Amino acid sequence: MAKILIVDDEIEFCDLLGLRLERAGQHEVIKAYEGESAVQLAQTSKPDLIILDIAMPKMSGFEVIEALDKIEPTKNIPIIILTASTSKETTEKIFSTRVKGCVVKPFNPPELMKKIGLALGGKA
Amino acid sequence: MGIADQKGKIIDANPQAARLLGCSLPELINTNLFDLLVDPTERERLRKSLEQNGTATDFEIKLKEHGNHAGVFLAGATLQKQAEEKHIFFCFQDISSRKNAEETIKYLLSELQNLDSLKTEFLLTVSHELRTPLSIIREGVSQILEGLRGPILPEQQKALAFALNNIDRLTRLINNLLNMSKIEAGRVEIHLEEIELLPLLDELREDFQKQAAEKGLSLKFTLPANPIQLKTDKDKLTQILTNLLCNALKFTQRGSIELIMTDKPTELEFQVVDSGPGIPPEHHRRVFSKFEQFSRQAGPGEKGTGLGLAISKGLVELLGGQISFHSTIGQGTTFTVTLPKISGKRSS
Ligand SMILES: Nc1ncnc2c1ncn2[C@@H]1O[C@H](COP(=O)(O)OP(=O)(O)OP(=O)(O)O)[C@@H](O)[C@H]1O
Ligand SMILES: [Mg+2]
Repeated sequence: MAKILIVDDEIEFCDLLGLRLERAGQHEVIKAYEGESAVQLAQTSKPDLIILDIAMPKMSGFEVIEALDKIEPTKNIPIIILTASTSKETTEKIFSTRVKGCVVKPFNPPELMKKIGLALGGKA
Repeated sequence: MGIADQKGKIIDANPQAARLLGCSLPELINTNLFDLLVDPTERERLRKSLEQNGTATDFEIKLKEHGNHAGVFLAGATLQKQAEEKHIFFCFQDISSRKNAEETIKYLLSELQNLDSLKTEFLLTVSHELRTPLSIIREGVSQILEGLRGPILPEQQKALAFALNNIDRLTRLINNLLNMSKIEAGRVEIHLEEIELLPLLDELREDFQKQAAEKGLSLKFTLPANPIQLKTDKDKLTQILTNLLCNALKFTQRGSIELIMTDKPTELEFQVVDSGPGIPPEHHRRVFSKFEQFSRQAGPGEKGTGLGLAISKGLVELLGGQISFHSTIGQGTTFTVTLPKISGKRSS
């Protein structure tokens, strides 16, 4: 069992995904609906994994990664991007960071769960 | 029309000439004909032509704008000896309507190009905006279907399975439309890298094995024994082969599907062979066209959009390769993709 932070501005999506991770994956889930509180929550709760949306108002997923990179306790937390965008720009930027995987919405649950498992390593 | 001296000084002209230029007759008289030409090199050309040939016809020379008379051209001029002196006889013609038509066509063309890129932009945005609600619908349905929200009855399960299938169909449609539009707008980015082909094909085989077995079809991959590398775009190649295998699987009701890879001196050849119904000869011409479907199966199963082959062809060509097929009614169809071993048409 791992602690997973879900960051997505779509509250309903967060709730659905949270339930899946809790019930199907037996994980502990925390949620943030925008970038700033995500960065704060990552610092205070030290999740094992962050599932991050990219297109969010105010602070984008990329900016969240940048902010997390700057802080010692959060700079090594693995990240999985979960985005509705399929543009090459997104995937290219992802290569340059410590992102463990990228899943496009609408997602296929087994694929996402597999990537989560891989990103968590032994902790899954 | 009018008359000027040998140096171009206008001596006389009729009122129409002045009207065409948007000035009064007294204003026109004493002006220099050569000065009326906008382009200095054209001035020279006129001068030379008159000197050498005595005439200057059949060429358009834009005249300086007086008022709004932008489309007035010198239709022709001749140098003639009158009494002792040489004079230039000239005539103007208003061809602004033709020029306007040309401008309109140019403008419309650029508008069309704008529209085309707007369409792609629009599809990109729409696709993003559709994916978000679609992902929420899919996840909700999926959770109920999986029993994550508590037990459900078989009847309910059936209805939700239909729903889920069609959510995925909608997603494929969005993906296909977006891909097609990107190919047409030249906005596909190709990422060339040296890849190992056998592992990629193994993955594909794994993906299709189950579906083939479910349909009672045998699936065979005939591959070279030795590892093979190719510099290409891995995702695009996967997409091309997936499309071909999907079609073979979709349209073949009994028998077998085979993927054969052949290592040739300058290229690699991939063939997807099926024992399906074949494509009627009258449809061969349109096989790679957009939105063309000739043998839609009734009943359940993956319903397409007729974009798979158009997209595959676009991608193969971006990779510098070729795609073709031959098909015999009642016996089956073979699609052949060849990719050059050196490099693709475009790199990034
Ligand atoms: N292996 C095949 N055997 C018989 N017919 C085929 C085969 N492959 C393609 N076709 C015919 O060519 C048509 C166009 O194929 P294409 O892959 O472009 O569209 P589709 O499979 O119908 O839809 P989509 O690929 O968008 O899901 C098909 O609808 C089918 O009629
Ligand atoms: Mg197809």
